[in-house]
Amino acid sequence: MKDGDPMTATPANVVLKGLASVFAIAGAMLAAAAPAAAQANADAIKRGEYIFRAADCAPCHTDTKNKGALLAGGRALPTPFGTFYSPNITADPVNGIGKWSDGDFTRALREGVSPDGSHYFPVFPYTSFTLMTDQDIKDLKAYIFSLPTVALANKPHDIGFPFNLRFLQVGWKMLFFTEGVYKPDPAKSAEWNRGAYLTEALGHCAECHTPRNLLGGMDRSRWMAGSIDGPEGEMAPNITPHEATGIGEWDDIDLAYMLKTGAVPGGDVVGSLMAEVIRESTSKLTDADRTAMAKYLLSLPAVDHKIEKPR
Amino acid sequence: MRRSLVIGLAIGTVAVAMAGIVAEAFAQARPLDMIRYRQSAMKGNGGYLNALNAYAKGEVTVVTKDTIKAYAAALVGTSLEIPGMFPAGTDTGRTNAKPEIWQKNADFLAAAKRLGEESTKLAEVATAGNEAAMKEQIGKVAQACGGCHQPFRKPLPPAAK
Repeated sequence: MKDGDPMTATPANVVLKGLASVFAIAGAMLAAAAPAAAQANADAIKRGEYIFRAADCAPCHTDTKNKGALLAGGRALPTPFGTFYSPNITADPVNGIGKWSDGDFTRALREGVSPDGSHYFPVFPYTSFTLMTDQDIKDLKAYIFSLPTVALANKPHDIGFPFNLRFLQVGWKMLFFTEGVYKPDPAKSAEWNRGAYLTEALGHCAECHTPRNLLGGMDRSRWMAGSIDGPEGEMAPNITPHEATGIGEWDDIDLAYMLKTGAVPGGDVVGSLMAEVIRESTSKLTDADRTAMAKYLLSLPAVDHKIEKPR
Repeated sequence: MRRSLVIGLAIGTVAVAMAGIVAEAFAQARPLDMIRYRQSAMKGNGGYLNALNAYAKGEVTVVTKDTIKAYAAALVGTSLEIPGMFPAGTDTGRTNAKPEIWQKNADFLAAAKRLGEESTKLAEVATAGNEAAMKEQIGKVAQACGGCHQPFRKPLPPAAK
């Protein structure tokens, strides 16, 4: 193109040329952004997988006993209020959570409310997951959405009146639920806060290890002090550092080793539902995280609460 | 007459007694003996494993490769006996065995096999003598124990001492 060419001198051409260069720059930016976005998503999925393990999502949402597909739900969860069946949480758009936005997913975990506005039963431990950070919730969703989808319809819960009335959950929440992200305690070490977050928010240990009242609310004065009617009718031991009735004879090394292998200091290897927790969750965490959990648990107030079945 | 009756009775008595002895020989051993045997064997393994665990946690320096191999051999031995340890009739009474042992027997045998494999590997690793590898493998053996306890053993009272 020659300088002073009348064709290039028209204002329209100047605009066109300008636009062309804008597009060229935008195109180049997009080309650069696409791999960056893909990389960001891959990172989120990787982080999310760890959150998924730490939060132990797979066992409840998979009907392993009947060789069900991962996260397709249908596992029977017998409780004193009836039998619940876990829902399909694969990204299947019809039967699962494939249509959920990040906001829907966050609301489910933070508030215990489904996208259609109904309240979850606290058999889904949103009471613990409410403590999770926004970032962890988002990463968890990215991981779940990276897994295979399964077109399996949900099974209705088998619970009696009046516990089957979902609107009653509003009252239950007022009584027993405190919403909000975990707030680190600045007076404690980073390791202690990490342990608290892993134990209370992700691991949701208290859901089984804290006794519940007649309405299913957790007894805050006996936090982690064990429950004689834990899930599936099993007893959950007192895991406060009480010498006689808890795990006061253990130290953080014993507890971290148990979380890795299932072996308790007395020589037994735990069976029961805890074996599932170890296999699917705590054995897959880092040593540092297991130690943080152990130190946190052993820092809790020792509660005198003997766990044994009434004869 | 009287004499032949006595002889007849004697023959009959002997025959009944012999039949009883033969039946006894073919019958199952007292179920309680088998239950006690397997419970004691598991308790013994629990003792070995607990010793190994204490070592794996890094607290003990006296342990030799030979003891680790001996403990591993005992665990392998038990794993080979497990398929025969749960005959019919030993599912009730003083046992913590879950009915799933018989209902899902293939899964049960697979879990026993895994204990054998992980324990065999422990013996191999002990022969090689790498301490970190031994400690890691001890954890795998413990996991194999738990892999059977959860589906197939009734929850024990949580006296986690």
